[in-house]
Amino acid sequence: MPDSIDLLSLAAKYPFSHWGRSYVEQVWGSDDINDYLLNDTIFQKLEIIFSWRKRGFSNLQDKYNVDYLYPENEVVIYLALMFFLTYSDYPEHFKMRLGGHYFNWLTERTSKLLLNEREEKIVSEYFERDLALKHELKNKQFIIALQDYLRKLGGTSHSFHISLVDLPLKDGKVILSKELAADVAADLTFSYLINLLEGKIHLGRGSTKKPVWMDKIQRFINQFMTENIVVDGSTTYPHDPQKYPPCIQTFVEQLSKGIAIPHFARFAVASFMHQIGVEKDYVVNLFTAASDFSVDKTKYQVSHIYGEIGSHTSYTAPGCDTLKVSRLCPVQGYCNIHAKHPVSVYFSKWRASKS
Amino acid sequence: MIPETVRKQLTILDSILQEHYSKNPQLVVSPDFIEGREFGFTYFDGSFRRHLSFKTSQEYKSFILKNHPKDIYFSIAIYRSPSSLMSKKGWLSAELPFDLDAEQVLKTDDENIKAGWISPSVYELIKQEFVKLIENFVEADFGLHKGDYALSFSGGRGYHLRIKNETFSSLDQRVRRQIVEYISIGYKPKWFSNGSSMVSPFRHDYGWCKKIFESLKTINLEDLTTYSSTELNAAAKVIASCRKASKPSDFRIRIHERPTAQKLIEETVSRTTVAIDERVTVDINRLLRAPGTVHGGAGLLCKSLTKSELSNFDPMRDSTMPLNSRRKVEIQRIPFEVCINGDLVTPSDKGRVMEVNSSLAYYLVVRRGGVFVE
Repeated sequence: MPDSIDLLSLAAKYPFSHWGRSYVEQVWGSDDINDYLLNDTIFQKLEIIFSWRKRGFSNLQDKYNVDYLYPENEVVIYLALMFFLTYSDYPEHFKMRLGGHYFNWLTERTSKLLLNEREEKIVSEYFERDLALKHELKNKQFIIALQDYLRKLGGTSHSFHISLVDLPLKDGKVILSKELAADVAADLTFSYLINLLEGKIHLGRGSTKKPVWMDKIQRFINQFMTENIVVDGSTTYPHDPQKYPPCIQTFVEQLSKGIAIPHFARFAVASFMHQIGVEKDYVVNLFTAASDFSVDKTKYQVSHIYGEIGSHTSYTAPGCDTLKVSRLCPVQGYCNIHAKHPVSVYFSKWRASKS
Repeated sequence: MIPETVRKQLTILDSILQEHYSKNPQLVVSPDFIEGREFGFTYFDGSFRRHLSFKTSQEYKSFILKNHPKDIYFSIAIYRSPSSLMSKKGWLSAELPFDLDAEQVLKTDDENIKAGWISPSVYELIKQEFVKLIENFVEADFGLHKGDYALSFSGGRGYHLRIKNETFSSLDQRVRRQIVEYISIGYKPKWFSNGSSMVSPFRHDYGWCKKIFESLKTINLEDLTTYSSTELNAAAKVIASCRKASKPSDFRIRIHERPTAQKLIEETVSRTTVAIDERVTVDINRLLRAPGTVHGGAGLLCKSLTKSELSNFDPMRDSTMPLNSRRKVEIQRIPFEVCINGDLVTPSDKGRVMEVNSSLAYYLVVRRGGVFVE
């Protein structure tokens, strides 16, 4: 167990970790988080956290700096944001999106900090205690059983930056250098934090007494949202058919030629268009060349998918794997590194064109 | 409505299957966890019945004997209630399946292959790819051994491998997809530089990096027939740098050599990947053909194999229905000579009426290479 100074520094670097929890339990005691949240430096930090990918911030040298002057602030920010994300009045999907934004920053920083740890045993302890991943440390390499790693992947609901193809596999073992171990740790940490937040939101439904600083953070977030492109969980990318993934491109082309496409492909088109923010009328028009086209019927079905009638739940487009299994994916292999979902491919094409 | 002439042919095919199952019931292999699997059957009238389940091996075998279906499938998944509709089955786990099919492996539009005419040389090619899948990926990288997987000849155009290991059986579609990418798409080099003019495509010394590194070392310049002389010179330098390096992460080239190295790596990757059917591997509810049963559209047995049996396995010799009865067949178009259970027909037999064993007769008629004359 590190001494209290080490513990504070480790808790500041990894506030979500067992070091963070120990710090809160052992050192902080009964201090009130509210005292810390009046601190302006915390809001400066929040600005970095929520702007880290913005132009002008992306190259910021100190965007991953740990506040060693007031290390407890790092723990406060983590606790406060988790509390805020759990109990704020935002819709659940938006909370998860905000959480994802914060966790991305936090895990990128974690990766860099782990890489810079002088002692491998800190990384090792992190793997053991926080990621619950058994490993062997041999010649400065972290050796994990592939089956344990796959079990970890299976327990998550999001995609990983590091795919199996990039991993050093041998005889059923993943043999990680410190650099790769830090990257893998970032992926797994993101997954841990997202799952944690999901659980907290689920358990935290209902009212709770909201501290005054919640309003302050909410004002900050609202301000941040109006200055940025993110609005209510969807982006304002203009509609560009050139950036459709191959599946949607194929379906739309076939529809325009009056070729009958399977019902599930029609559903994929409409739900995809909804997710990328296309107007309903545009979608209805896509189906006009079909031999069995009926304005009323199509409008009714598209409205359903858009969540305007029926259960008032908008539908999500099927993912790449579902399209593959349904034999609707026109591509051998995968069309894009982001090809988990047609919508991700569309937005990744947008991002690529912008950069 | 099936024309009468076709119906007669189908009736004879059906009777051959009936004969096979009644004379060789011992060949039907019951899967493990039989009570948790869904079964599906097709028949010569075109019907497909699924969502069926059996409590015991005996029940399964009796069903086959009684109904002699054209095709017999069982789920790779184990369910709590396998005979319920999909949404109510209660998925518990699913073996991780791989399907290697001639059409996909050869990336061909060959009409003969599409129609199921797989020559011995094509079968051999698919087998080599199958061995590559087992040795280079399932064993070398995933660290699995013979008890962890089951192999079978599909009875048609290729081979099946099912990983039965508990961890792999619990994987969801996303992780299965990563495994598909690992085997069939392979590594896309990300170039690293340490600030100098030298770059490296390998970040570590294992897995795909090692596969490519070892393969680059063995490239013979004479095989690069599509390369111009300038490209050949550049390739020679890249290969020489690779041979000098003791491990993948030591391999470095000058930045201007990168396009050539990239091209060589991409070619190496495409030779090293195995073209598994991705739709099969990511599908956690897939029905696969049951080993020990006849592939109704091909006439050969779907046969369980061990890895050691694989090297000498010849589908046309080792996976036929062992039937002594004989049928008269008028030979139509066949693309190559076919020998089953000692009887031989060749393309030059076209138009002849021959009496052949029922197994060969089935093989020919089901591919429209002949018609029964009764």
